[in-house]
Order: sequence, then structure tokens, then C-alpha cells
Amino acid sequence: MLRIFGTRKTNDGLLDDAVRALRDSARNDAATLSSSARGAILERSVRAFDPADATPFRTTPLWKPATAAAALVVLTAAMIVVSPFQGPSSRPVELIASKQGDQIVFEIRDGRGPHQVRKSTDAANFRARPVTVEDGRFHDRAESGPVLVFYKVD
Amino acid sequence: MSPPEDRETEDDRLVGAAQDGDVRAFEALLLRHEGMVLRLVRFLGVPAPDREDVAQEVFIRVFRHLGRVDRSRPFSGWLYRVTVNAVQDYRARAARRGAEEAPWSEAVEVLAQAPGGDPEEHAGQAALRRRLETALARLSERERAVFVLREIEGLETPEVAWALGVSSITVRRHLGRARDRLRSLLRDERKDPRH
Repeated sequence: MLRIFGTRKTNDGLLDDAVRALRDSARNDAATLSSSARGAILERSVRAFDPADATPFRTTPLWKPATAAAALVVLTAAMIVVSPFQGPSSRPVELIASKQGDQIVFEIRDGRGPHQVRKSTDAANFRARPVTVEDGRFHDRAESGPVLVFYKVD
Repeated sequence: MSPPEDRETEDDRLVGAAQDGDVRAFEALLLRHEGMVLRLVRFLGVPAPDREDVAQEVFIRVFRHLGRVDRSRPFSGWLYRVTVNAVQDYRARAARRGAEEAPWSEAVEVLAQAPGGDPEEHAGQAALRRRLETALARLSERERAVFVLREIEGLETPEVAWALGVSSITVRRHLGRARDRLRSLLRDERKDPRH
């Protein structure tokens, strides 16, 4: 039976119409996460990924995802920093990220250097030629958009 | 939109890649499902300011325990389950804080409107949605979850049962109660001259 909206309905009909209206609107609802939330999820997931549950993240053998400098909520682009593997006796690497104008600036505070920094959009492949950082400080253009950018520092 | 079976196949491929440690596959899964998770979090009554936090919690749980995914079942079913659990935990935390749940109809912004059509009908549809939203907020947590998954998300009864960790009989019972209660609430609202 074709119902005309606004006419008197049975309670069942009213509920069915309301459900249909909500379902239709939900179908057109294109809610998305903010890029900062997306970046935070990926960063925290990479960090919290339980190796007992599954294969560890595929990275180069001496590398694992860093815990520092990845919550780049100040950035419009989501980025993840991949830090050197830390052995039991090594000092933890402190990575500080900040946005200055259209640049993202990283400071590596581990008292060592120089460092080699590579950039990639694929955490499993860092093929680009590394940039040598002498003073523990490097910068890059802060890109916007949903693409994740990974940095590897050694 | 691709057929459900194609989506499931692609989800399964991405889950497999993510289980092997492919971060890009994680990202692709996130992008494919964030809309559904946000929508469900919303329909389950999480106020707007907290929805993104709850959605973050959902995906972190998903990715943390991805190795446990039963790949004989659709990934989306597991995601529904994790989302419902995360909302329940959120509600428990909110209750401990003594926070009041925001009335859904007030917390919800204007829902997306299909393009075109009669503006008067759109207004009528929007009013009808708001009435249902208000009524849904008055259901029990379990009744609301069953109703939203079955009637709004369109899951089959066994899928709802699996997502909620209950039997199909329980789903049907809660769905019946939810429908009765919603009918009653919509009827009462119609009698109320303020509406």
C-alpha cells in the first residue's frame, strides 16, 4: 500500500516509516574521522600491535615503530615516525615534532649523531635516498590530506 | 557501491595483509569502515563530542587484536561486535563519572539529506527521524543495540546475535520488546501537543 506522508497511520506504519527515514539518512551520512584522529589511531595501533596475536608489523629487521613524536595532532597531514630499534642497553630516543609555518620540524634528542632520515608513504619500504642530519634537527613540508607519511631515523 | 560479497572479499584480503604487518592495509581498512563505526556509535547514543574518541578506541582494539579475527566470518561482523562493546564500555565509564547521556535528539546534528526531492517531504522525514531518535534513546542498551543493528544497519538476526554475543532467540525477544516500546513511545508523542 502506498502511504502518503502526513496522513493518519497505524502505529506499525509510523514506526516503519520512521525506521525507513532513519535508514535512508544513515545511508547518505558520510561521516569521517578527522585526519588527526586517523593518524592517532594508526600510530597507537602500530605501537600497541600485539605480536603474540599476530605477525609483527613488517618493517626492516632492525627497526620497529617508535612511540614518540607520532601524535601529530597539530598537523593536517598524519605522519608516523619510525625510530631505530632500541636494544636493552640503549637510551630511548626522544623525538619532538612541531609545526612551524608550513614546515614540520623534528628534533632527535638522543645525544648521538649524525642521523640518517628517510621518508616514505609505505612503512615497509624506505627506498628514497636518506638525508643526513648533523644537529639532530630536520624539517619537511607539512602536507595536508589523508595520506600517512612515515619517517625512519637511524 | 560494490556488492557485499566483493566488499567482504576485499576486507578479507586487507585483513590478511594487515595480519602480515602491512600498515597500508590497516589504513585501507580504517578508511573503508570509519563511516560505519561513526554511524553506529552515533545511533547507539554516544554524544557528538565523544564519538570520535569511541571510534578511535574501536579501531585500536580491532588492530591490536587483528590476529584473532576469524576469517571465516565477515570482518564487518567482528567490527560491529567490537563497536558495540566499546560503546558499552564508554557508557560504563560515563556512568562511573556520573555523566548524563545527552538526549540523542539534541546531540544529533541534522542528518544527511538525500539530494533532490520535495523540501516539505524532507522536513517531514526529518521530523519523523527525530521522533524515532528521541524514542530510541529511551530504550535499554540491549534493546537499542538489537534494534539499530537489525533495523537500521540491516543485519540478519544471526549476525546481530553474533555481534552481541547472544542467541538468535534473545535477539528476537529484544527486537520485539524494542518495537513494542517504540510504537508506544511514538504513539504517546503523537498525543503530546508539544510535538
